[in-house]
Amino acid sequence: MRAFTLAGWIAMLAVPLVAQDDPTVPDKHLERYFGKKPDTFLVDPQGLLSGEQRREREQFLAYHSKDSEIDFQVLLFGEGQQVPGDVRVEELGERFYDDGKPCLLALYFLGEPERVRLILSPQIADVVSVAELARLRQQAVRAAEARTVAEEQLEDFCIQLAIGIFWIEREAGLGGGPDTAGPGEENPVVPPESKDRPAMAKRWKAWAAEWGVPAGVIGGGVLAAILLRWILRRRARHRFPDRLPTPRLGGEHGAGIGALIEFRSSTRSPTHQKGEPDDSLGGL
Amino acid sequence: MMKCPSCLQAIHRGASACPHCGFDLAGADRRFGTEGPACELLNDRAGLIRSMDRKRLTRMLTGFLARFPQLAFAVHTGSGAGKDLREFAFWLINRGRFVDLPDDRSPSGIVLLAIDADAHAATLCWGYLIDEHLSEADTFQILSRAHAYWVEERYGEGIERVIEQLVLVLIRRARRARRLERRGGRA
Repeated sequence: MRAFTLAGWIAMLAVPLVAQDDPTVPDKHLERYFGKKPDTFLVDPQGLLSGEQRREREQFLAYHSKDSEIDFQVLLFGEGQQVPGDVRVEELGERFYDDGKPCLLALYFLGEPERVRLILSPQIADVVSVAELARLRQQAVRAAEARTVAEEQLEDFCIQLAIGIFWIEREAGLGGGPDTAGPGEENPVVPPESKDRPAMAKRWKAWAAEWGVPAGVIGGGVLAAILLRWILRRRARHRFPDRLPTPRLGGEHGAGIGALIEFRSSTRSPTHQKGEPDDSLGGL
Repeated sequence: MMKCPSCLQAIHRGASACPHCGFDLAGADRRFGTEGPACELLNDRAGLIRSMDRKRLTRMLTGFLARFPQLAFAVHTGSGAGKDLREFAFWLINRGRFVDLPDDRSPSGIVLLAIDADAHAATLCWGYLIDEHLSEADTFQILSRAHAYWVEERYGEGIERVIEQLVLVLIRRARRARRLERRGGRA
C-alpha cells in the first residue's frame, strides 16, 4: 500500500516532465503559418514532409493553381498538434485573401485527415454553401482515409480536394474559358442567386438521370389509363330492362310525370318556383 | 308512386283513368286534339332557341341517342299550355308523331322536355321504358340546373344543362337497374 502511494506520487510528478512536447504549434512557427498570406502553396515550416515529398505536393498545388480559377493552399501541421487558441482560424480567409485570386485554404494535420479545416476566401465564401463545403471536405477526407501512410493520405487528400474545387468553380461560374478572367486578374463576385440555379439544374438532371425513365413510364401509364377510362366511359352504352308496365290513363307510350318549375323570378330559388304556373291563357 | 298529370294525386300504376279527377288521354284529346302534331325531337315552336344553340343541341341529342340505345330526348317549346303543361306533355308524348325518331326507338323510350314560354314554366315527361327509373325528385334536380339560364332567357344553354344532368341520372339508374336485374336473375 505504501509502495503504491509512493509510486503514484512519483508518477504524478513525472507527468509534466515526460509531456514536455506541448501539442500546441510552437511559437516560432506561428508567424510562418498565420502571420501573413502564404507565399507558397504548401506551408510546412516544421519540415514534416521530406524534401522530395514537399516538392511533389508543392508542384501539384502549383499545377492546380495554374489550371484553376481558385487557388489551393495547405498549412501542414503535425499529428496531434493544436493551433493556439488566440489564432482565429475562421478569420484567415479575410486576412489572407481579401483581394486577389480566390483561394481555398486547408489546415491539414498529417496523419489525421479527419481534423482538416477548410477556409474559403471572401470572393467565394458567399457562393459556396456550408453544405457543399462540408460535402467537399467529407469526400477528400474519405479519399485520404483510404490510405494508411500519412504522406500518401495527404497526397490523396490534395487530389480529391482539387477535383472538388473544379466543381466549385463550375457552380460559382468561374469555369475556365476564353471570356473568363485569367489568373491574377480580379475575379468577378458571383451573386448568390446565380449559384442556386445551376445547383438546382444539376440536382434536377441527376434526378432525371436516375428516375426519369421510371417516372416517365409510370406517368405515361397513369395518363393512358385515365384516357382509356374516359374513352370507355364515353363509348359506354346504357340499357334499361325491356319491361313495359301496363299502360295507364289510356296513354300508349308513357305517363311518367315529373316536376314542374317556373322561371319567372331571378331572385327566388327553383325550390320556391316549383309547382303550378299561372294560367297565362286561361287554360285554353 | 304514379301521379295524375292533371290533379297530381297519387294513382295506381295501372289506372285507366284518374280516380280523383277522371283525367285520361281521351280527356286530353278533347283539350289538345285527337290528331297529334308531327314534330321533330327538337321542336322549337316558340322560337326560343338561337341557331347557334340549336346546332349544339342537335349534336347533344344525337349523342344521347348513341349513349342510350333505347331512349330519345325530345324538346318541345310552345305557349298556351299554362298550368296544363303536364297534361300537355302527357298528351304530346302519346299523340305526337316524332318524325326524326330513329326506327330502332320506340316512343316509350322518349324523355320529353316541355317549355311554356308564356307561363315561364318547364316540365319533364317520360315513356314507360324508364317509368320505374325516374322520379319527380330526379326531374326537379335536373330542371333546377337550367333554372338560372331560363330566368335570363338563355333557353338553349338551359336545355343543354338539362340534357347533361339527365344523362348523369340515367347512367346511374341504368347501372342500378342492371345490378337489380342480375340479383333477381341469381335469386
